[in-house]
Amino acid sequence: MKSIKLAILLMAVVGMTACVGDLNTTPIDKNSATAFNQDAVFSKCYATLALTGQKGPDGDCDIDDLDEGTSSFYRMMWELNEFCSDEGWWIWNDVGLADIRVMNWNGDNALVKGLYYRLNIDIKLCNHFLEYASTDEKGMTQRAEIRFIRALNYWYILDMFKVAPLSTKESTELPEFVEREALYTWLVGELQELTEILPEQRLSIYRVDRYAAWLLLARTYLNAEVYTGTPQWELAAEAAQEAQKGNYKLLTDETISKDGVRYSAYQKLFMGDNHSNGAQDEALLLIYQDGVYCQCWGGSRFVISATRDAKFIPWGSSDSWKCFRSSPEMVYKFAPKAAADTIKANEYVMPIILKDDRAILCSQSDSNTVQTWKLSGPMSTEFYDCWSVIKFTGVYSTSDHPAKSVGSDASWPDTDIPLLRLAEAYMIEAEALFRQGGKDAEALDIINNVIRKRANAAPLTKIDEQTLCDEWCREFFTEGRRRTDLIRFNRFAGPQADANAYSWEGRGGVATNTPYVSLPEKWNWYPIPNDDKASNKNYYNTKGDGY
Amino acid sequence: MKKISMFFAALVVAVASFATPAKTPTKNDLADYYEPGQLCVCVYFEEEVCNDIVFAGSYNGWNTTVAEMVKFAPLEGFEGWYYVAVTDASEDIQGKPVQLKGDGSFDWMYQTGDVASWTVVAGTVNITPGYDGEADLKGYSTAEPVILISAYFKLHNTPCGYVAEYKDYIIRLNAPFCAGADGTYYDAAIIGDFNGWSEGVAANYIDEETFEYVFELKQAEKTRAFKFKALGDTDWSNQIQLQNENGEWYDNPNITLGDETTISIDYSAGKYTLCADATDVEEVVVEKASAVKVIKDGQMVIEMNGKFFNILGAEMK
Repeated sequence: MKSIKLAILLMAVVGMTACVGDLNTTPIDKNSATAFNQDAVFSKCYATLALTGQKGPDGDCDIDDLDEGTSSFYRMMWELNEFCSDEGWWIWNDVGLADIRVMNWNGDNALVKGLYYRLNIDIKLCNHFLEYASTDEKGMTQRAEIRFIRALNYWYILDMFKVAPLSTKESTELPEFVEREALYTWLVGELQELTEILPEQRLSIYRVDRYAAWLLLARTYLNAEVYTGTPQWELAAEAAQEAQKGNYKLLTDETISKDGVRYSAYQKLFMGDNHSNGAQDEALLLIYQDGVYCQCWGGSRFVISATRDAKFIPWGSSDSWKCFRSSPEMVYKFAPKAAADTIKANEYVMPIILKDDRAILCSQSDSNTVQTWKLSGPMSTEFYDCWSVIKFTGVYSTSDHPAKSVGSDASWPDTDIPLLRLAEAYMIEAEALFRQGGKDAEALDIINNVIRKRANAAPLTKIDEQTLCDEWCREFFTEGRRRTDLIRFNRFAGPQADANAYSWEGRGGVATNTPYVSLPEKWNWYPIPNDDKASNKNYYNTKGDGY
Repeated sequence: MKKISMFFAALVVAVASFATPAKTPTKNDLADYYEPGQLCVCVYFEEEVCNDIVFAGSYNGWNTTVAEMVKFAPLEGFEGWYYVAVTDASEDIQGKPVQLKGDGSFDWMYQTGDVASWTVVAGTVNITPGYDGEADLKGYSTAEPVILISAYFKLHNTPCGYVAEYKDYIIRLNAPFCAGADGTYYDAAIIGDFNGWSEGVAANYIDEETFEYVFELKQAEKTRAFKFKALGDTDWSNQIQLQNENGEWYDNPNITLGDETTISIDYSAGKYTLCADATDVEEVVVEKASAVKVIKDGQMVIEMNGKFFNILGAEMK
């Protein structure tokens, strides 16, 4: 059990549940007799990043009209950024999922609706806090943090939708829809202000300081061309440099256990004790997870269990879903294509073989030698049709052996989710320098001497768009951001130069990476749910999202 | 009873070895041993014959299942001569004798020798060089029996009293760094008579920085030979080539496995036959690995850059 506990677990926030209809009709009643518990609501705002309701792991959802399983911020964000990408294949056919995998969604898609309403209900909750929170020193600090949480939710709306309802005040009126450029402008201004008013240092490892705002601002600038048509590479590099000035550092210390197990520094970022093994110092925003106090189906439990079969090397949980595997294109980011299908190794040996600590992949489990992993990725429902991609684990890096690791719970992992990592600031700076032109050497220096050095990966000899796009994958695979990167590199949908023609398992409904199919530009964003369009006619004051 | 059994056993293993034929058959002597239209091959083996000899060839689609092959039979009245008669409708009738191993199994290792080992006494056949110390016999004519003398088997290999020695080999190759006209880099493939000159052994690991390839040959007989060509090159037109003192390119030679189980070969100064101009080749991103699984102290470990790692990733001291 973790020694660090959060008030987010004390969810006696009476009256804080909402429903989908709230977005369309009646907001939280200002005249309610319910007392405003500032600390509780403050904690609830953070908790929305991981939890889906008032009762863990399920049973009292924040949003009444949705399947609670599709109402998780992290899981929905993760699924909509990963399932349609080149990083992996979810083999179950959950409602709405098949259309995400093959990029054929519409405004009735359950996952899209789940994310959309989650983001908006979280924003509404933040607005509620900001309406009532005190203005004393403590209150002002909390206000800044909640404005950041709201900005974070808006960043995902900006990134994943073309138009958006923008609402910064608690109100009984239907929110106005704005174009993407307007939301970008508002978000940049908000984040710029937050870089000045957020604390210089965070007050706990699960709260944010101004460097998280700098990083989110850098991410926003990095994708500015996608959002507005105008690149902001210089601003992205500057913001990324500012984000590096906080009290954060890349974790570089590996652990060799008494039983001769190597937990690399990179692996430790995603382990059960990543709140205390040094990984917490790399995370600018760490989503709290705990096997006892913070159980939910949309946090680290899902990303760990989904990638395991029962016979894998122990992963700190008794639960295995065997429903998410890599795609061949993901494997080739690390393994030489010509010889990849000859490499048979578990997740501890694979980084050694592939000379990159980030290659936490498995093509043969030593505890399940009869199983044959393929490298075919034919859009199948077979878990073993491609390598396992298993960098998240519930195992503690203090354990002598994975089989001896003891977390808070036998089933629910303690693994926190590093939603913002310092490594991203370095990657943004490198890409932004490269994009400016004439600064390849500086960009390569960051990639080689910061990012790849920590991963014990050989230095790259050159840098270009494809190399950078691949490096983003190598550093951040299955962390819920791949779609964004592919779009920025013009490798997702819309008109593409032949040189950028890149495909993967399932892209556009094609089973293999050939032939390449051209996809309409609108697949670069998700549709506003049809029922929200029907409820809020303000949508029609915009140019629309094309769906 | 025991003595009698031993006596018959001694007969069975009696070795036939005839340096030169005392008496040579003519085509008329073979007239009763084949049907019109059949291929009749009659061979005198100067080197030791102790087991059955089969005819491997086009008549059965090069099927090497012993039960589905035709065996040579002694030619009555002509000591040391063996004959075979097969029906083969191929346009290009091919085939060669192969002596079976002591256990009755087939192995190309014990086929007949190179071009210099053959003498054509009568009939029509084209004898051309094979892969490694053997000859290919093609273009047989069925018009009349083909009568041949074989001076020795391939590389003088003989299954007679020979006890094969098998070892696990690790072969490291530093291959040439070049691509074809389409810009695709060639990968090296190991081929050899350890598995019938096929591409059956994939590289365990490839380092695209140095183009080092690591191949593992499990339980390979130490007398076997190997060489390298481009992966996927089915007609051997794209072998790794080396340069002699006169600047002339030649195909990389066959190498015998031998006693050393770790074999390192540096052909990085060579090229593939179909290499494009090196200036057309784009630089390769360095991101690949060179590591190999080996047995050390009785357990499977990973070797890389001279270091050993256990199966949970920790370096072994």
